[in-house]
Amino acid sequence: MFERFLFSIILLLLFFSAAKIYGVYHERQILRRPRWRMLPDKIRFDKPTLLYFWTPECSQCKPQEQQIEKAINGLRQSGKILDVQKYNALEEQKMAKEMRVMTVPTTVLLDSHGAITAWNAGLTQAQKLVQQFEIIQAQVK
Amino acid sequence: MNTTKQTLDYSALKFNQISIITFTLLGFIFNQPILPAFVAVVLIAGSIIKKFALFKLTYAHIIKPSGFLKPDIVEDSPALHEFAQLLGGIVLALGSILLFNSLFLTGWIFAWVVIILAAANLFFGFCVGCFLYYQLGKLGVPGFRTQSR
Repeated sequence: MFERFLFSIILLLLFFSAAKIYGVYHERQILRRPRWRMLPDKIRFDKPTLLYFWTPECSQCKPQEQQIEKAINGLRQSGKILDVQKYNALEEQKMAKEMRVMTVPTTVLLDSHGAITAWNAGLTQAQKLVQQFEIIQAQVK
Repeated sequence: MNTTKQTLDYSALKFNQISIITFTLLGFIFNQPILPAFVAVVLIAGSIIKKFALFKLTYAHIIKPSGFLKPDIVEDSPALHEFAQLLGGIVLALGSILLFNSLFLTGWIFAWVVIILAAANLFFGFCVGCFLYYQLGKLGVPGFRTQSR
């Protein structure tokens, strides 16, 4: 029994470590890309922007929209504005590929200069989106 | 046109996932195939007849009233989640059959697949079904791509 317990701990630790390492690696790959390659021409911005990739079949996309709404409302209450642009990842495949979208929902946060500052695969809570936005604000100051 | 919005309590889903992971993991640690088999029965029966969804009933009647987990109501369709639950139940059922037939390695691999996928959803918000649907839709596989809403 003890061996199985130890094996379970090790396997779960490996899983969480691998997931974390992959997430960090993938995010850094995106953040390191030259700015001119980052964004397709159609994206226009002059303020922090959240790119939200979704598909009609995605079961987590509706909850993600609610979390985005919650984040926007929370920021609005403190006088901050976050622009959101929605893209169907299947119809906008070129942009999705550019943003390295592997799954939906995916949210990509851009600062007011168009630089990617955060990339989230899967359902992301409003609190995390707000924290990522606050990091942009802190860097501006 | 049906305009009724469907809602889902995400805390119930989370409790469901915690229960799946806990019981299956305990089954592995104590080498008791009956536990993943029990989870499989609960998942499959609960997908077909809601009153047999034991984990969700436990959440509704014990966990929620106790305040241990607060309800997190979101607008979402339960259909895809129930499908994922049914799929998880089938995989666990297959694993359990293998375990009861002394095919321990393969049986426990099946059980661990369910644990890992449930953990990915619970801790990282990563939905394997969404990932597969998206990748198959990108490849143009029929049935995985619909009109945008």
